[in-house]
Amino acid sequence: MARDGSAARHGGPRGGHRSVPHTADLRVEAWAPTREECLAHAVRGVCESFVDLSGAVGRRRRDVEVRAETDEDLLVALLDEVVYRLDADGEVPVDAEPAAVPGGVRAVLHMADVGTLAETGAAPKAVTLHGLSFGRGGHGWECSVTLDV
Amino acid sequence: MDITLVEESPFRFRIERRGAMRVPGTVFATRALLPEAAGDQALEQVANVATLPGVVRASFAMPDVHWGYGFPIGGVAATDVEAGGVVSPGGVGFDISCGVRLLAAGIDRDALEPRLRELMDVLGDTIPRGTGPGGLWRLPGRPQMEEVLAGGAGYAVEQGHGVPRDLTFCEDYGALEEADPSQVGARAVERGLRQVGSLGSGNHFLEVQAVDRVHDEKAAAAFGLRPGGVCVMIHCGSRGLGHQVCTDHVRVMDRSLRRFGISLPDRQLACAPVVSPEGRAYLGAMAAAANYGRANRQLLTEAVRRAFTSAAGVEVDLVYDVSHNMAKTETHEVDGVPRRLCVHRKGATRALPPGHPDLPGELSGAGQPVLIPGTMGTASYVLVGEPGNDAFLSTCHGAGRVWSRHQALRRVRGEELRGRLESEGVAVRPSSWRGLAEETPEAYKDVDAVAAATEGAGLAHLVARLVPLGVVKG
Repeated sequence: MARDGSAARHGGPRGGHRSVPHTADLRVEAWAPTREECLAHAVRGVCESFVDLSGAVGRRRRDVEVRAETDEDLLVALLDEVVYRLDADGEVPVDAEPAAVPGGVRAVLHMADVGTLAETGAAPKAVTLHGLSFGRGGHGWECSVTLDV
Repeated sequence: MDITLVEESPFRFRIERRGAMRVPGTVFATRALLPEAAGDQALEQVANVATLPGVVRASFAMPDVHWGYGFPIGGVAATDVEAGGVVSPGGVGFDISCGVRLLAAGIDRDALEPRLRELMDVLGDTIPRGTGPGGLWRLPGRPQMEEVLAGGAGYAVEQGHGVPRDLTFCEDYGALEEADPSQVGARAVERGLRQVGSLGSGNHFLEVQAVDRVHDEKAAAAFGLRPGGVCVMIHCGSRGLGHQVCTDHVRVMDRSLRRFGISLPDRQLACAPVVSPEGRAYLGAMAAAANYGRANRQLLTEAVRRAFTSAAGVEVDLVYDVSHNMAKTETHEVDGVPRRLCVHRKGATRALPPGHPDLPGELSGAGQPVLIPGTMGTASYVLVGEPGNDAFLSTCHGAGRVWSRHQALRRVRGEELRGRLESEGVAVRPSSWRGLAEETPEAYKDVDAVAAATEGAGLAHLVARLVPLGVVKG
């Protein structure tokens, strides 16, 4: 088990996240009392895997809305947005504030330019469906997702 | 699932059919190379692939096999197109047409030595790498992108980024004719517009190498390789465009599984019959993304040529360009009958033997070069295809990871690794310290053992061993 970005950030979502070993890829786990906070931690966990977010400030706001039939697919859809913005625009969300809407979530993403952040690892390039889980668990909500790097 | 391996020979193991498996699994490896890390699911993934509709002969694993998602990395599976066979984007991988290009420079390592630092500085400064946009060739919009998607390396050469000879030495002559740019979505195009001519990150690299040992003099000579000669190996793929194509088409197929009556042990194996609209759409998009990948390596070749001209005053020729993430429609005999098969190679390389009709005349006598990158601290290999390879003329694609990125980071610091490599005479131009540490040589299987097992299994035979002189890390 590796870096644990749990809880502590002042004013941030409750819960935590960590990345766990996988030979080819990046696997991120997150947990939180609510589905939306868990999504926020998953986004944070993914981004912390490749850039140093300590002290990073969002310079631009993006509103994204994603819908899916299952919570697992919702997680994938939100992370798909993160990967797409990173590659197409060179932007990284330093914070995510998802809120439930019918059939999905609307998320405010506070974006920083990736070039202004210290790169600490290989960037994710796609979200896989391998070993995907997202649902209620001991912490309220828990998810596990594997990304291609 | 408990996997039981039956040893058929010192280089070949069988996974017996059970449960939903339609064919057995075949693992080409020595006992020492078999995946063994706790939690490693590579062999289970070999068995999972054997459940795909239409799969024939066996689900194969190459000596570098390791845990992927859906398909194992180092996996080969063929499905019978006319018998309900499916195509699975996961059997190609996200980085469509990720592959290796080997160039031979007109200089020996001793003559280059005094100029190596300058050469590495030029390459380090001019080869785009890392996250996000930043390629050598900025495409203005979708129309020109469609030219790249249709024409691949051929279009790049036509636009002045190379010489016609380059195309002779590319798999498929640098472009797949069946590309259908209209099946490449807007997001994929947007991700790709500013990335043509870039390495990306992860395990991608550009290495200056020297021929350390020649195992097959005749084949080496045919490939333009000589002892002490300097080479350049480029490992990269179709960047964000390829990843988005895979993502988009996996999502479509995931939703259509029920309609086709397909159930799978892993969602990332999402698939559709080759002849279905979903299957055809994916194959058209995949071929377009593959062409993008070949154009990408063509642009990097141009940058390498400029660097060698300015730093060493020598020319550079293409040895070969081969993909190791692809699905291709090929004809192979199955039970004595020629069948049209969709051959998936996920982290596996096509390896045509001498005389194969798909080879250009220049390579017909020697066979197809197979390019196997190792690690920046050990070696890489050139092999050549062998007749009688029952894994649909496929072989391995690299050393194969054994450590996760986390394990590598726990055990190695990037700064120390660079110091160690530099002391061993390997000049390193990293993209990030962490990214460098993640790719430490110890994170991979022993490439010498992988190459020996590949030869022992009769998949390909050794032509030359290459050692690194300098690495530009993605």
